[in-house]
Amino acid sequence: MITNVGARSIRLAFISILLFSGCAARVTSIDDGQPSELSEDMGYLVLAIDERSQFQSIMMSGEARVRISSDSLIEGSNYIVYPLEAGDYYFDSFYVTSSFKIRLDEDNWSVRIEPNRLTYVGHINVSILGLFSSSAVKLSNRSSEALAFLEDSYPQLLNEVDVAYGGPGNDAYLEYVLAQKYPDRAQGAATNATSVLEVSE
Amino acid sequence: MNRILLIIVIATFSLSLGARGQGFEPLSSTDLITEAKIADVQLSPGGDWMIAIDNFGDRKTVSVIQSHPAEVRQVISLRSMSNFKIQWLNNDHFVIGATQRRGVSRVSSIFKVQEEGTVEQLVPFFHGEFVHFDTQAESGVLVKLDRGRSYSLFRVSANEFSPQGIEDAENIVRRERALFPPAYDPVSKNVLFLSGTSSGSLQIKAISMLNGDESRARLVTGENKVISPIAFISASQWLVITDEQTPRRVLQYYNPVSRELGDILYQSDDHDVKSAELDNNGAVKSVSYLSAGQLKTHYLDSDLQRFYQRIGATYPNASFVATSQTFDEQHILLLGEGPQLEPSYFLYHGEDDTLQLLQSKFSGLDTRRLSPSQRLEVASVDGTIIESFLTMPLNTEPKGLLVMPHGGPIGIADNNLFNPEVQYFASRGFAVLRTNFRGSEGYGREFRESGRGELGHLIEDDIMASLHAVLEDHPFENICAVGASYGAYSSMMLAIRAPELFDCAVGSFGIYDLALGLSLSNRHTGELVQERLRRVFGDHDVEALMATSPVYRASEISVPVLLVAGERDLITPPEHTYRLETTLKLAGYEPETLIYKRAGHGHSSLTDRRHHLALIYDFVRRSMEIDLSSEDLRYQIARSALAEDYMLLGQRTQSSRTEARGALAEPKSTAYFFEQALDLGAQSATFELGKRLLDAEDDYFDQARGLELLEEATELGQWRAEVELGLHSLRGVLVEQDYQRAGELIQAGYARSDDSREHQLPLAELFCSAPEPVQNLERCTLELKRRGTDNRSVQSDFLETVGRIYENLDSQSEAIVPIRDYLIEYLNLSEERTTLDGVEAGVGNYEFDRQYGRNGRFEPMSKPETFSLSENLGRTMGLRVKADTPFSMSEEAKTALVLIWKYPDLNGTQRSTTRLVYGRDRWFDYTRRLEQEQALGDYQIEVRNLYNEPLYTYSYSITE
Repeated sequence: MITNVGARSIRLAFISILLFSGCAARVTSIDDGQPSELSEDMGYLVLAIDERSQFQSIMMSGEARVRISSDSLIEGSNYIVYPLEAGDYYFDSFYVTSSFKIRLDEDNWSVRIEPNRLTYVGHINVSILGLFSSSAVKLSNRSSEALAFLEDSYPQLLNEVDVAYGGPGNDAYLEYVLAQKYPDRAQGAATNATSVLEVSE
Repeated sequence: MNRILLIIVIATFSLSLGARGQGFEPLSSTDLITEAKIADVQLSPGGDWMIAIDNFGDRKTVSVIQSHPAEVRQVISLRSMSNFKIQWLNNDHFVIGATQRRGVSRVSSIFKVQEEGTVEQLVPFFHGEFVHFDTQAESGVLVKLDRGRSYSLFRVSANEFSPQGIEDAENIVRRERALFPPAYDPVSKNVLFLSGTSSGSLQIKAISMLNGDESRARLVTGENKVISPIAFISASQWLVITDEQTPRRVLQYYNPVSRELGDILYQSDDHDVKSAELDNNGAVKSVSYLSAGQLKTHYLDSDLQRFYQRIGATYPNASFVATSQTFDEQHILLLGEGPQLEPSYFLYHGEDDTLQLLQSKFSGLDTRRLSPSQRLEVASVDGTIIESFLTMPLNTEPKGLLVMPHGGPIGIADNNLFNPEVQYFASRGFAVLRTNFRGSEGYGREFRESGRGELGHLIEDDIMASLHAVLEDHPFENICAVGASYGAYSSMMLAIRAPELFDCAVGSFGIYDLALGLSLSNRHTGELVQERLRRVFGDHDVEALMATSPVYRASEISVPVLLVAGERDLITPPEHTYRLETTLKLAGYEPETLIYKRAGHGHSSLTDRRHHLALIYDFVRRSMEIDLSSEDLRYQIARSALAEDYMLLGQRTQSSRTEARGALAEPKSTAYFFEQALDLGAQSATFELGKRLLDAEDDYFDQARGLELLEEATELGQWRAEVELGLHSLRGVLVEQDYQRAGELIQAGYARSDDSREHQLPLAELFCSAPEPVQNLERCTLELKRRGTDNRSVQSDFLETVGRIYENLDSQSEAIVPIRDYLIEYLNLSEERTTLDGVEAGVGNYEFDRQYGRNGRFEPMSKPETFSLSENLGRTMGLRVKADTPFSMSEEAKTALVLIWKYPDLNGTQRSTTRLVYGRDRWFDYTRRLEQEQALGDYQIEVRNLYNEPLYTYSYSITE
């Protein structure tokens, strides 16, 4: 009896996963050479999954509903670069496998995609397995690694589009570094960061 | 009493005089950075015996030692166990507790020491451990882990020390659930169980061992109350160390249920209590605290106080604590430690009032070679008095000053106890200044709190005030700032503040972007964590934090910089280091960077720790432009300690354990390290350097110099060089193929080797590959077996050698038969002629696999005969292959393939790499990522079976 209930629950859960994920757009990364004709209200999501993390897919909600699967990652890398409607998003669930989901809370998993920018939102890392707890999954800020990746794999796009940080907390590092690397390019957020250089004791 | 103690003092002093004038004497990092050779010593209640846990790397033993005269009578070897604990049960019985490898629960075994010193194992290892044993009452409590996290308690007395007695022991608590093994509080005589499912629902249950009474208390966590429990009087009454209500840390009662602090048991206006010892009635016996950097123990009993003062006088500024003593208190085992005394065990004999040095816990460093420290008190910019410790090198003029800010910065402090890192640099001729800036622990609550929010401000003011005070007396010309964690941040900020004073800055595991501290991950953005961080950073906005962050002020760091990080560091992740490295480069500087792949916020490997110190030493030396004089290097002891540093740098800086960046990544840096080692007389550097010059596949390759060095090393008697030269003669790539000479060199080399355990795979390659008369198939398989069976797992060099032998032989060669037979037997391989089930080759991508425990896979997109490197940079080239599994193959058997990849290196030299792969019904990838440095020319990948029959070949060319 107990077994039957268990099996039915698993079946229902599986069906609901299928239905639920069926509503979301499945994404694939763009190529560097691909024409970047973004409308004004679009931006690029830049996200990485730590190379040591077990990962099947992650769901994003907000301006659009998006499903990022391991197939979405750029070949030979841990990154995804994908055009999205700009605005506020949050990651709502992380699928370690198709049947093992970790629910993520909106407060701690909110990100913001800036219009007409490459917005790096973080590196997702699954550090502990088996606890069935959202604390096992973490969104880390590894902006310098992300920038090195973009410079290596998306030099053309990087030349045309600014980069912003849209992950947890406020971080002006990317704007600061890019303002130094591309001094002729006007970076909104870079203004504050550049002024830091003038501070001395 | 004073007579004997006086003798020790005089002896120490006169020997110190004898040591003076010996000059520059670097201490070996192997001696300084080492794990404890003795993990614990316990004196029997009668005083006749001691037991000690000895640590010989992987091997642990328990020694049974006669006390008078001290003599080891028996050594108990313990295999497949770890985390040992020893304890006397009465005068002649002791217990060894341990964790079995692969086990989770603790096991114990009871031993009896016979009169003549032999030891009998009364009870073989059983599941369970004594949580407490009263040696006078000869009765104790045994705890056993039941299923899951349930623990049961049993009462055991000395007359039950037999397998049956333990089996039948009285059960007093049955299956109590707890998060951790229970603890015993000697004051209340309670056994305490901690349970709960989350930090918000923790509960303590106390069960009295006197009358079985139970009490419970629910713990409240998550508030910012800093208390350190030292005794659990009952579930709801603890004794804690805290300064929540007092200016200094005091000993105070605490109720964890009402979260209220109670009566103060001990306090002082002069010091913060660090630890305390209670007697069996709960009265305070002693308190320990740091004063002037020294660990002081104050005994409330005046006789005891006088006694320990006399003991402490035997070594300068040393402190002693009793670790065990006899019932009659006539014999006391003590652990002593001081700035010039490594932690060491001593035995005090009451009958003749003597103190006997038993053994150092570590390497037994000669105390006469340790550099003393002096304490300074300096008024900082706002008049606050700041304490510092200045360590001056012994018997030599300082070559420079290292300013070493400690980590933290809040609640951490430097002290004047033995510090191996400080002694490392002091013995290499550097003065070391360590400052307990505001925020440091041990100076009262107000001083500690005054450091909050002063990162980059008053904290660095304090350090600069100390530095200026030192410079008044010692006008150092060369100064570097060297620190870890917060100390790394501080080092960079000091270099920004006073570029005219500093010659370099070294940061390890550092935080360089304070603003990043607040946005490091989504776990750092919660209210509680932000509040905790703000208590360190202060209420500065992000812009203000950036203004005091080295990352955004990199252009002001005009001195040479060395950055070191741990790839697994979760406290200050390498992102901080990468950021500073990036902005320094943007500012036009070239920092040297090293990432330790297995380090976190510090090292777990002793060798990495030693390497790290050597890296800093060399960097500081180069930055200060210090040349060692012939006077410095007059003694062999000095040359060998420094040569050891440079050998380690040569071997590990560019290795699989590290990621070197900047100048450290250049091949010439390895050459430089080995050349330094050579200059210092490390003969093995001749071989190391020669081998690297010949193995290099880029412009570091130097055939003439490499061969010359190997010949030279051979003449110096280095057997590894002889074997290496023999291999070159055998393979015939860089020197003319000469089997006779190869045989002579390799055999002569191993004959000269004094390590009989050293595997001799090159002999296997020689005897299998060479034609007759050198060929000797019996010895070939013998050498393969030696390597194949001396390890639990098959080693990569074994697989490569087998591949190399197959490459050298053709399919008709009979030599392949005994090798194949051996492989079939040893690796349980199928005897059948393997064919291919599938093969894909070409250029494509390597896809990481996200399934737990599975590797990535190579996915070829095309199989070109020729392809352009520039158009395929970042892609992967190679092959993916799967052997066919014959139906007749047994269920356990596997199939094997030999993979051979021939390629040109950047110098045009034709090289090859080989590998034997084996498994059952699986794909094998043989790939290489296409990088800028890839050589152009003709490549070939070949697949053969165990019969050495070619199954597949992919030949291609790479063009620009």
